Amino acid sequence: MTDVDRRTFLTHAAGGVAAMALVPNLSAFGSYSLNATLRVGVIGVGRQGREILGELTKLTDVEVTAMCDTDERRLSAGLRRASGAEGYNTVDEMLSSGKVDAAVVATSTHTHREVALKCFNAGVHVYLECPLAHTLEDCIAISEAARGAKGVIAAGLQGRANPVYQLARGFYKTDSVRDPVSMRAQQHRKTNWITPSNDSARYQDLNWKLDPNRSNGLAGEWGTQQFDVFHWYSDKYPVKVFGTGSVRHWRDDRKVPDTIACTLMFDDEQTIHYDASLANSYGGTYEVLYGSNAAIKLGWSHGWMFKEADAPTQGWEVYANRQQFHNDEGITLIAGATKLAEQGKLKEGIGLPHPGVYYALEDWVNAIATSGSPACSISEAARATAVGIAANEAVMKRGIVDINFSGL
Amino acid sequence: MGCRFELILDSADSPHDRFSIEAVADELVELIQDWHDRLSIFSPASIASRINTAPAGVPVRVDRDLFELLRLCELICEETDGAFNISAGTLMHLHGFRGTQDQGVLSSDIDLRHAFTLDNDTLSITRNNDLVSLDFGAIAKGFVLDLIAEELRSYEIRHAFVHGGSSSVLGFGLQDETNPWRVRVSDQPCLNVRLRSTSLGVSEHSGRLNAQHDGHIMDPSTLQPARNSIVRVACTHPSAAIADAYSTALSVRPELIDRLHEHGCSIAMFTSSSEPDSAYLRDRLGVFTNPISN
Repeated sequence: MTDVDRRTFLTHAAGGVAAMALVPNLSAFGSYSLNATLRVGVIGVGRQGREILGELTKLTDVEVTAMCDTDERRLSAGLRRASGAEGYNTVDEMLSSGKVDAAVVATSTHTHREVALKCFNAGVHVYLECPLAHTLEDCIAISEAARGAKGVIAAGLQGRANPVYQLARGFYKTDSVRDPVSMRAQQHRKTNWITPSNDSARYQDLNWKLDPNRSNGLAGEWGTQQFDVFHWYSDKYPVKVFGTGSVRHWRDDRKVPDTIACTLMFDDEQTIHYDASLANSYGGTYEVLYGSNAAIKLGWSHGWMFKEADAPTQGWEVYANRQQFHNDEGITLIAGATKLAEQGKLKEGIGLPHPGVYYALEDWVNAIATSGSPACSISEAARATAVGIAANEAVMKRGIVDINFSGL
Repeated sequence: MGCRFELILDSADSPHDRFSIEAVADELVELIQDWHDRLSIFSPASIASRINTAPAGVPVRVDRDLFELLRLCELICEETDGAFNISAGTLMHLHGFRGTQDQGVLSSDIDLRHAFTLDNDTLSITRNNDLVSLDFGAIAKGFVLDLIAEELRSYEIRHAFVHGGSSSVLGFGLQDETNPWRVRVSDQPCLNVRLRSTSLGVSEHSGRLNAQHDGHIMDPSTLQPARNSIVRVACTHPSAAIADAYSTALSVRPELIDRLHEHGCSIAMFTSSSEPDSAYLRDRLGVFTNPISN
């Protein structure tokens, strides 16, 4: 199968049963128990914040009691999503209301520092969306402040809490993949990245992602999440990044490229190839880790393994489904497959039922309940953010940038 | 919903340029996707599935938007003597429209008219019987079109056309300066409808058939697929949700035509015959063209 054929197949398979699907046993998740209802306030209820509201309402022993947004329209939309929650226009008002034990920070990236530090100072548990910040200086400030914070502080690098990614990482660390060869990721979405508004001042405020002074661009805003998957799997960070980009489709005088490509380089000369585009949606979002025995492809709700012909057969393959596609035979593997098959739920078990942010929030609540550590710490997120910031800088310069981790 | 939606947004007379209007379209697509995810009975993570799997007697809290939808469903159920009833999802399982006939035999005394209870104070819903399964399929697309209309108004967009699965249609404003949006609802007999800030709901018995060739529209009073001479109903109403729900109610109980016509809608009902006098028309709004008899 050629690369193009394989990509086409995966797209048409709609995350189905191509090659080997890696699905974890989800019964281990959602097993936390809180002594009392956790009262959560959500700061920033734009598009991302509203998705978070929806996912929080699914969690046991969690109640959204407050939310905050400077934009009345958004606040009103958010309040409709969480019955009984109080709305606030400022973070200070919400934090001093006595109505929250924990806060989710889902404001625009360049405001994270101010908001996060207020939450740390208030002593509440904090879930902070990623990237952490739009400058290295803010990253360092958040990282330092988090060290002295009282509550459980989690960063929203979602791959680390994703059950499929956790399972696939187990395979990556074994002989299934063997010698790491290279890494590749993409994020393609056909969208102009504009938040509409009738009011020009509000328009400027809402569309910070298109302002080079406030935005990390595609490499930072999207890439950070995906770069971190590679950091986590490989236990190392790239040291240099080459980037390029341009406006290929949305010619509305924007300064932030709508299409980018980066090559991130490690000390051992391994590379991550990354591209992102707002101009084409083909292939969607995924990461691939190539090894000498197999490649693992991760698509957030799904994961697959493509074996090389000379890779040894492993014991668990005996229980796997096999499917023919074009020139390749694929193996479908589902953890707990025998049990699911007995229940007639084999197909239902292939993809994750919830979006990635659900598992990240659940992991955070679990850490609060158990006084444990979240899947992603602020210091890990700070390093991933530093990579994203450098990648964006490289894209804007059309050149090579050294990645700076000093102070993190 | 699980169907294709198409949107035509006209930036004329609006504060938006080409790029901004595309961004509005993106927002609307996200809204559609969001409600699909929430109301899908096929996704175990949806709120609809959470309601359907919570034990009878255990309340499930919902957000205000969903609660308002549930209240609307309850009201239309009363208005239509139970002909429209989201609890008919129970029967969809029973009659093989959900892949398996896995619900066993329903007791004939199951009361689908009072299958769930809503609590206004806690914004919660409680199923009264474990066999009850809610299905928003007969109203979800229209409900989302009403939300889209609200969004269009808030963005000061004056003209738009949106449909979901070609059976739920929103004609927002006008097609051009003077003409309403025009939709063909039947070829034989020929009938068009003109939509000017109005919505259209179409219900068709043969939209889906089970192994016994029964249509997918259920009659909650008989616990059986609706069986009558009506093959298609087109109903207009300012609210797309109500247009959708009424068209289903009329497919179940055609004799409601005059009552629902009094509620501010125009209705066309077609029988299996292609003769012009085989259609029934109640058109207080004067929206149908190429009029047919009756």
